[in-house]
Amino acid sequence: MISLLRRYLRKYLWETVANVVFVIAQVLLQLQVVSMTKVILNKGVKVGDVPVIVNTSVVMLLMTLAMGVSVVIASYMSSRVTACVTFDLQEDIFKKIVSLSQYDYSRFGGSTLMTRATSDVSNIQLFLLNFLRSCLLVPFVIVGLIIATAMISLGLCAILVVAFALTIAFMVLKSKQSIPPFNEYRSSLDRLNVLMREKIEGARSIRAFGRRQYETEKFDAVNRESVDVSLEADYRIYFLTPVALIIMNVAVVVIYYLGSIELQSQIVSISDLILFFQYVTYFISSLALIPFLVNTLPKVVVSVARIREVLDFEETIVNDPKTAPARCDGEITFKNVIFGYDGAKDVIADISFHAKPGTTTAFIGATGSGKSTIMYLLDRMYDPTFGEIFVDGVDVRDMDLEALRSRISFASQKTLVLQDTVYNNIAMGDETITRDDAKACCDVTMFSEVLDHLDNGLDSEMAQGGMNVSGGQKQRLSLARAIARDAEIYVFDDTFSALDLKTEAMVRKSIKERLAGRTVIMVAQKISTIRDADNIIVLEKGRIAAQGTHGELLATCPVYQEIYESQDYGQEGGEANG
Amino acid sequence: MAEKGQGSPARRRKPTRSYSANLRSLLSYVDGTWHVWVAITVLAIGNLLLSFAPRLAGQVTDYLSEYAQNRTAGLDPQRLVGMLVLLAGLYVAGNLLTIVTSKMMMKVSRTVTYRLRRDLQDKLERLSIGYLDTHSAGNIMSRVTNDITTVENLVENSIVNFLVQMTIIVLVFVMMVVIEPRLALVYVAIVPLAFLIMKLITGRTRTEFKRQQNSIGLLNGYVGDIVENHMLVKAYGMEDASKEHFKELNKVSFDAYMKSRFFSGFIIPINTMLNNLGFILVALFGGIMIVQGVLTVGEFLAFLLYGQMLNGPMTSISNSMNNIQSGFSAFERVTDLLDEPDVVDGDDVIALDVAKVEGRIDFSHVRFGYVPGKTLFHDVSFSAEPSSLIAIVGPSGAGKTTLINLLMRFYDIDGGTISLDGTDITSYGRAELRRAFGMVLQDSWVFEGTIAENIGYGADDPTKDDIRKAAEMVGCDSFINTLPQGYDTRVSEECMPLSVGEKQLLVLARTVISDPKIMILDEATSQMDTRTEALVTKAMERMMRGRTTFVIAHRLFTIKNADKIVFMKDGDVREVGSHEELMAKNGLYAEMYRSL
Repeated sequence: MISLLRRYLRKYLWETVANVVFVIAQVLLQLQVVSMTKVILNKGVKVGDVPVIVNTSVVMLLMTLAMGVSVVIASYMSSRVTACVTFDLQEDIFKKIVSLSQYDYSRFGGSTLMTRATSDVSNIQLFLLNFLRSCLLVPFVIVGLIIATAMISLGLCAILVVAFALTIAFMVLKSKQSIPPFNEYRSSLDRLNVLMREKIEGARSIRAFGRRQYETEKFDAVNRESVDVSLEADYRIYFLTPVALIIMNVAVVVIYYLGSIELQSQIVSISDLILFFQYVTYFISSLALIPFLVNTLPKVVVSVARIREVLDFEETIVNDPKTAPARCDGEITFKNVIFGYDGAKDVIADISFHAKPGTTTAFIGATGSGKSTIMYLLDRMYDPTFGEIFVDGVDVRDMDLEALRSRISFASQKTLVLQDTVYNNIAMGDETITRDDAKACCDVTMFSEVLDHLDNGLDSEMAQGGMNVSGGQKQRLSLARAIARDAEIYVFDDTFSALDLKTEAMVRKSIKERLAGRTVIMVAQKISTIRDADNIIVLEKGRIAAQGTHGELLATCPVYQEIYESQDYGQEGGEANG
Repeated sequence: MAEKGQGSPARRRKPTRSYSANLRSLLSYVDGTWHVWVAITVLAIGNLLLSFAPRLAGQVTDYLSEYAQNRTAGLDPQRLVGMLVLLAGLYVAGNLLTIVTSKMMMKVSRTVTYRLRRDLQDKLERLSIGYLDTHSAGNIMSRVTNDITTVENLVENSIVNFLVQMTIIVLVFVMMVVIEPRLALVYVAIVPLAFLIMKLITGRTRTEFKRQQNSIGLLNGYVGDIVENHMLVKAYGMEDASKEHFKELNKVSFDAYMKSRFFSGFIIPINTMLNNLGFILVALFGGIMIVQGVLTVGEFLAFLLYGQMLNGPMTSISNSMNNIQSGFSAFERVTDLLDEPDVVDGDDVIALDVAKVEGRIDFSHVRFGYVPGKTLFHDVSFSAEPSSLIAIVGPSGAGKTTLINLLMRFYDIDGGTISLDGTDITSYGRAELRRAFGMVLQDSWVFEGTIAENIGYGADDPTKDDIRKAAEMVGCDSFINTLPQGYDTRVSEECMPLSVGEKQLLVLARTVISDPKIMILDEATSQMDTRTEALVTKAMERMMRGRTTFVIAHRLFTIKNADKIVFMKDGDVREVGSHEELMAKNGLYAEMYRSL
């Protein structure tokens, strides 16, 4: 944890040092103010000199004002350092998330990345601010006190040191022990949230089956467990502050006793003793920070670990450009490509095919046959376990990642919609795409129909996740996005599935016209979508069962025939456009 | 307290009900309120003990000081030790009692948490579907997560802290007055001053905090959007653009944070300075008083120690008050949800023997709208014979889902009747009525658990054999067996080893096990590969046999084979009849059919 903070604090060394300096000033001044009571007692009260008492008070007041100034400066510095560190940390995490390959991203999962970038960061932020502001005081208070009290009496100081050591050791030990149950508590909360969310989302299904009893029992078990675990975690720390207070206060009593002995042997004076108690009380009041530390430390340790996991993650896809392709015509070659996740069973094996520039290659096959995986490999979202993939004659791993992806326009199976305007959803930051282009692309994919119903045309805002449009409409938007880009290769990963037959046929036809001469790779479920392709590749269980034109496959490939028959069934009217 | 905050955003955060009403309601969640009273009493005793300590310490000091001035008398070790043991006893006992209170309140607060969660989950089962449809899941979720945590904190810490701080302030004042009333005046002046300044600062910082919260919201929203659309960002090379945009938002959030924290950073130093002021004034006047002989050195020390005791409460009491305020607001949000009207069956419901249901459904002059004044169904009438197939057809947004909502009584109609086997469906209990139906919707609901649990959900106590049979019947047994853990494979919305089609098969199997008399099926099979689709279709067909079935139909085959077609458009039923009848009618249906 410390190494992460050190890494980020280094940049703001000056501010951090200033913060520390003013914190020290604050402590020294405070101790000085306290120590002046001795002056009042010895030089004023003892001899009955009222002007000395008044003058000393004025000096104390001035010191307090100086202390106030240093606190304000320290407060500014601590806010600044915290804000800067958070800014950098958040930015680094964000950059890392954005740069993660699709493969690495899916290993983390979106929701955990999201909480790491948000709530984990804010945990650290809260901790850092309080650390710089108050916790940092504690060591200086301790050191200052030890020096100040040692000057009064070494023996009494020794008692204080023992008490400090005991308190701190006890705190550290106990709060460390609370980390595992806190972790457990956190995950039990996660489970509770999953259950609740399921309940909200599945309300209709739950009621349809009327399994209220079952639902209640299931929830109750998790609820009970969560409460138990949270109690277990808190049982390990709730007594820390009072116990620390007991240790320190008992030390005070012991000091009283030993003090009386030292008083008898005239090692200390009565005003020394009073001052000593003042010091100890001052320290005890700074113990009030302990509950905060004890409660947040375990959480922060967990958060830091979670963030480091992201920041220090070694990416599996490395951009290592060696060669730039000499040509630019969109030729694709797969040579004996094998891919499997983390040593699990291969998802695809032995994939070899060649797509000539300007042709259309289509993939068909059952769910899980590896169609999308091949698309991801082409766009280098993943790297093959074995084999090679060439675009325009160059191995994709030797090309600049950005250059590769700018050659490929990719429309994914999951239709994604940004919470932004329609235009920005199409242009995606590409300034060469004008509003007219965007409009034209909407015409091609028939998103214009939807556009006409939206209040602000291209400037209409899409809701989060595209909630204000239907599945088919989203698909039309993502198709418009894909064709708006000027690329050599266009990938359509099952992007016509939510369109009704009539719309699909029309959209497909106009896309074909627009993309004439470009290489197209498409994945589809329906034969009607792909029957015109130059080359159709039939996948079965991650392997190529056959490839050829529609006519050839229909004649020779049993898998293809089976698919064809299953689709013909019940769709008499659907093939009219084929 | 000053009522300056009126009309400002801060005002809205205040609870709307009175504190006593909220407290009463909160106490109703406590298991045996005597725990609370005992805990508070124990705490009061503990604080009383602790507040005696400085006075006793002062007396010890006086004793030592007397000795120092006149060493000939000597120290009475017994007396000294006696005093010190008493002092140690006060400290130990006082703090131990605090521990007892913490433990008691911890248990109390967890019981409250447990019960609130339990009630909320129960409420989710009783809330109207209309409520769930019109309120975002995130909003409801934040009741369950953030708000309950805040309430837990309210019960466990905020209220107790506030009481502790108040009692300390009062007790310390009492002790000070007992020792020397004139010197106590110093704090009589300082404590209210501290309150006033705190109030002023928190008033200022609250708007800054609000602004900061908003900027964080925007930032997190953007992160969420990018994380969700990660693939898009990669595929379209938006990495740099998104980093830029993020940086801008991050800057705004940075500024807001700086401002809010810088101001709130004044709270502790100002308090410390005020406390020091008290300290100095006591040193000044106390010193003079000692010279005058009206104050002893020990009393002087006691005063300084009492001053220190006030430091903590003065710093954090305004914070505690804020916490209490936000705690009660959170509690109100939770109880507001709990107080939402329940969907309850009338007392006069008649029992429905599901086994004897034949499955005849009649819609008669049904009128319905989701929002009052916006009627969707004006006058819908049609009937479904037992064991017949009804195809619901029409463009998206036509109101097909509404029809299901009404059949299942997720919503109640505004006029007309819907009857089952000739009896108005409102005469039955909702849960019982729904048991007669089986429903398979397009986005299949799968919950976190094993596949066996997901299928078995349809029946009360299904055996493994029942589950397997159901899976076999819909044809998903074979793919389940290919999974590494078979029927014990865990599935959830987040982590799903199943495709859309396989999920739908699972839900079909769940419906099979419940053996409904009437089926509601959503046929849409987009994004399903054809072979799974064929499996699903076959399974659906098998299920339709001997059951009245409503299908939101997309396949011409299903539509043409339906006994009755209900053609919907723009939220109303426009045509009803068989394929032949509707074709002969040459209306909207015929037009749609020909355009395919």
